[in-house]
Amino acid sequence: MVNIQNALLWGYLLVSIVIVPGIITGLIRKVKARLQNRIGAPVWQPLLDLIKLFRKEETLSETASWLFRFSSALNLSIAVYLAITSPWISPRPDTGACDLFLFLYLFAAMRLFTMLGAMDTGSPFGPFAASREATLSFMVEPAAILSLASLALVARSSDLTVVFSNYTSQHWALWVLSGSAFLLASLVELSRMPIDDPTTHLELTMVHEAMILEASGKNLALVEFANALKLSILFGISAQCFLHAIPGLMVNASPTIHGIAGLTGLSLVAGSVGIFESLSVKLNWRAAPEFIAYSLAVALIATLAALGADFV
Amino acid sequence: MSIGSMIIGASCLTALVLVFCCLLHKPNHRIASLLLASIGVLFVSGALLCWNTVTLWHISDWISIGLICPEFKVDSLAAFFLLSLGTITTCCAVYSPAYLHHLADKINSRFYWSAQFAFVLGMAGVLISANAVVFLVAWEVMSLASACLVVSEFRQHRAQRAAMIYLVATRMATGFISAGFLIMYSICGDWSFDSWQFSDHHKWLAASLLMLGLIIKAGVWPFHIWLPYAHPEAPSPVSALMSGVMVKVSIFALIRFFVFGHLTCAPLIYGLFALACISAFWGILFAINQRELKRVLAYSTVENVGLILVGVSLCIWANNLGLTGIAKIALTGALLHSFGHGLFKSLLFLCAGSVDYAAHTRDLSLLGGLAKTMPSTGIAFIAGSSAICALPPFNGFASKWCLYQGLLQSSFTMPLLIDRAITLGAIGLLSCVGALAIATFAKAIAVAFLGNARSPQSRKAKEVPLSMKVPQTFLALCCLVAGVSSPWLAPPLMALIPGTNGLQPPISIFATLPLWQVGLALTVMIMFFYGCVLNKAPHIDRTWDCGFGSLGIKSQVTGDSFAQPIARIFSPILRHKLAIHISGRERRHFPERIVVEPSMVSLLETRLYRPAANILDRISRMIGKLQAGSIHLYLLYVCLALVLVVFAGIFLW
Repeated sequence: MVNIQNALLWGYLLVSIVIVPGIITGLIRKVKARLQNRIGAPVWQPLLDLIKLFRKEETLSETASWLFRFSSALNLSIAVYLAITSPWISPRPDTGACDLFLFLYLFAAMRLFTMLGAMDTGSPFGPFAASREATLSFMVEPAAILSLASLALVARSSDLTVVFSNYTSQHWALWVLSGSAFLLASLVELSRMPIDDPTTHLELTMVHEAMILEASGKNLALVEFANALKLSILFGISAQCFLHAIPGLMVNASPTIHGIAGLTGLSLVAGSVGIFESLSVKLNWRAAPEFIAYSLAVALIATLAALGADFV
Repeated sequence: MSIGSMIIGASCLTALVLVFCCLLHKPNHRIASLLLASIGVLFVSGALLCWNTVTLWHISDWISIGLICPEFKVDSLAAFFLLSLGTITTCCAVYSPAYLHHLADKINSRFYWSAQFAFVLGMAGVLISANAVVFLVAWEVMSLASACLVVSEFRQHRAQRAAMIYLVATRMATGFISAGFLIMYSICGDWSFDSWQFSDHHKWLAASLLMLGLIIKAGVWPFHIWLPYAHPEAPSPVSALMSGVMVKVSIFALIRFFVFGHLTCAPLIYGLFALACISAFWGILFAINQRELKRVLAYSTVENVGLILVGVSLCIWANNLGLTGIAKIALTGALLHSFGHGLFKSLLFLCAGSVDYAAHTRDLSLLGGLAKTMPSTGIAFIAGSSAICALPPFNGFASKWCLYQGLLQSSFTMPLLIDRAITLGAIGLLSCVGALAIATFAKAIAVAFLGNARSPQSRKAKEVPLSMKVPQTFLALCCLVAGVSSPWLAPPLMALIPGTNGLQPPISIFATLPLWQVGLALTVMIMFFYGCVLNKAPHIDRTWDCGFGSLGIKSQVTGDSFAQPIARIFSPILRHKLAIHISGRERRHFPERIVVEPSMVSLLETRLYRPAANILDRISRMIGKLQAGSIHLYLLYVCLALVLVVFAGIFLW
């Protein structure tokens, strides 16, 4: 019985890893299209795009070294590893510990190798984007780590599996604050809307899209998939934070309810990101630190809340 | 006396003999490096045999250095640092002959090798010294020998200046340490370290002097300015040893005195913690804005020393509060990071030396595209950078994880709310430092090794000979192995501090760190993606150039422009300025010539050290007037002195 349940959970996890990233990306695009009075592509369009890319021939720059293709393979591997171990959907099979610092530093490894891949081709666009990415990342990293560390502090463990398995926590405000801070930080980390508009193609201001400019065909498929997976993991973690804030929702609930709640939460986060992206305008590059300051401020408030909640 | 300590003693004696042999007879590079490598191997084997034993040598009383006879002690802490010294010495020795060949007539091999042996001997001597006098002698041998090595290329004006700055720093360090030792001796009445405890408050003056001297030598902010001068000027194997081991020797002394000597002075501990945090941030902030590869590495040493000292100070702090569990994790983090930083920083310095060897420049704005012409060095540099950026599963992550874990656990176990807030804030600061380190090394890798070559000499660069490749590859593998095996390396280090009354059994926390699993999973998946997705040879074409014809060297991004957004944000600290000159008849629409010159000023040097040096200069010029060179004046001094002595004698009688 336990084995069947575990096998089912593994199946659910693996299917989610393959399908959910595409659907979530498609959902955000669909919401934005509807808000712009367009019908928009179907929600599963990104999956079809990925399949198309996997079948296309790859063109590589003559300047690129071995690192260029290695970085995309490595990045997708890291994303898949994190998708298997981190609690971004529920319910999950027992996949061992997922340390908070390991989680963030694996994302940092992804970032380093994306930047290196961008700078490998001798094109000026990639390195400028990488430079912007480096600048954004050092400002947003404290917000990301502090929002999760404040949860870890209250749970007294740096293992995210332990942190997120506690459904009876009374500190709903802390969960909301941490979830919001992490969501705002993820928007920057993923270089989404107020920082960068992923739908326009102006190489001189883009962040992520300009870094992957030289990737094509199968290589681009790996890069796009890794990025969609990263997006789902980051949004999934904040969705789980918000779900934990609803008292009594997930306590003693069956795996089905967990699954429905997890997917709904993730879709709601993605949908609201879509709405937010439709309503906001891309910030001037020099104003980006101000937006990041919001996420850092929320993270600091979460930290104070955690310190206070734990101290009394 | 155990076999291990006999091996260590014998290799120290050999080094001592070799110092004089090299001075008397001009050594062959190969033979000298073979001897140095064997001394390194002996240190490693001796250190491994000495683990978990304590050996005290008391050399017979008729040899005495002035005040006391020499005493040596090899315990686990010393053995751990000797292990690091031995590994890095061996690698540097293997690397040296081919590298020195390229400096052929610029260095004097006689002085170089005798200073090299003296340097290694001095470091080993500090590690195994058991009393203050032996410590000071070995410390001086280490400092002066390294100063000689900094000035190896003695005809270069820059090297002379670097050695001068470095000498001033070492003199200050030795001065403070001697003062601290004298005070401790006057209180304890004993030179032996075993009887030195820093828990009484009347020893705090000595503690603060000692700490000051040691952190000057370790390169902690604001005393770090000698590092970016001394490291780049020394030959690469020497910079590797200086950065990889020598600054760790100061950290070893800090641990020996203040962790094992139970420092209880709260202001000193808080001060050390604050300085460590500032160093970490300041070091990496300057590292990202450097244009020369070895200066980047030198500033990154400042950062890493800061990280290690965060661990050391957290250990002392937690120990005073009785939180042994946290103290153990923090000290493990500090020790692992000392060892790990030794490995990856010496690896990076050796790679920088290889770049210098192949392309004849370390200026990032002249390099580029070396990953294709020097694949082995490129891979080693990327591995070292991944380790220093603390990317899992390399060893940098394991040690940084211990620091994070110690800080996180402090944030819910320390009794005071303010302490908890400080440790949580330090987590945020360290993550910011980590992200900046990634930016720094992304810049270093990309500008030196990726893209197109920026100058003819880097286009013509060839891979270095085998004897330089092997140590690099070996160190890169060490970084990986030490990373994945850290859950097994850590428990013996935790045992260094006795006591088990921590809130959490500290050894079990490594269960949440699946480093080898990460390494294995990533390797399997990467092989899968190469095999199943990227299995066809791609179509090769030019990089997209917007239809403007081929991309030139000038269209590539330089290191300065990569770092510019970060430099702009921190322009109050870095004094970063961009001077842009656009010239041409129609300069608004058709500029003929655009010159952009970034400039940066080190605030500490211009505002603090320069004025201080000027004042010192003025005072010494005034004193210099006394020495006028006139016999009449000197006779007057003699007469005055005589009168003064007579009066003093009458007065004091």
